[in-house]
Amino acid sequence: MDSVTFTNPSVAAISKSVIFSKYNAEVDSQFAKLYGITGYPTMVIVKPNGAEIDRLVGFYPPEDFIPALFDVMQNRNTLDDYLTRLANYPDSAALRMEVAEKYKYRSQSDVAKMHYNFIIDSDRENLLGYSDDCLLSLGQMELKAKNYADAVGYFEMMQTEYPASELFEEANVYVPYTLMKAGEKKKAIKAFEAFKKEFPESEDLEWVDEQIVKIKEGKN
Amino acid sequence: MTRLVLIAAVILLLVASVVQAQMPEEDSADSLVIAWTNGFSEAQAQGLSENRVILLDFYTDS
Repeated sequence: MDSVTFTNPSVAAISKSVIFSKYNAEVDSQFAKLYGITGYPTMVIVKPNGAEIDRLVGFYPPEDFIPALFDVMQNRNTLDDYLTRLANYPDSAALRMEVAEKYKYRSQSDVAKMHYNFIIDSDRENLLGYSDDCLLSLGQMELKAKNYADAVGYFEMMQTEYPASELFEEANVYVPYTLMKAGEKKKAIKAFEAFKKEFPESEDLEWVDEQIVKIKEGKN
Repeated sequence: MTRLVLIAAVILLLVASVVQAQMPEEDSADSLVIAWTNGFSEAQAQGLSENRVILLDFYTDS
């Protein structure tokens, strides 16, 4: 973000409205913990009293960063904004999905899970196209929390319930990856090999081969 | 003489506790932010009382 986005003249121009401050999360670990930072880079936009308005997670090039920051400053597409809109349209799966994602990024897992499960329960057949996303997100959250068995459960459920999903392949590669993280080396290799057979055209094949080699060499 | 000093000390303690109780409580999030970030003293000097927002950019070297 430093070399590309923050040095962009347009970004510098809005510094009159925004005070930029940088924190190495490994050094200011308590501060990072306060805001539930789990991925990098994460930019949390706060009021002067420290209350969070919203956050931007991941790398943002200048052309995306400026509108995203303006949105936050105008309370547009923030968690508060989505909560207000969801209160008016409680049946909107799209709005509920946005709310769930916001809570996930804020590390408020329990609230995020509640919304994801609500969407799944409301649309078991995935007619609206969010339930598969929700299962994948639930699996990713359990993986991040190192609840490996639960994570695999969600990824496998995703495979069973929604084989036609665009996320099917992604769910499939998450299974061996999670097993690898859990230290289940043999199962992970077997699952990686099964993935290679099922998805011979996958863009992840090179990465999969690297993981298999690393497991065999004891590096993973 | 010792009694007078003791009575004076007790009165001072009572006055101090009353004064402290009447002071407005600092916002907890604000105090934590200020305590944990060196940058905030500078940020405050730049006019945090205005409608400005602060962007906390968290990164790691690894």
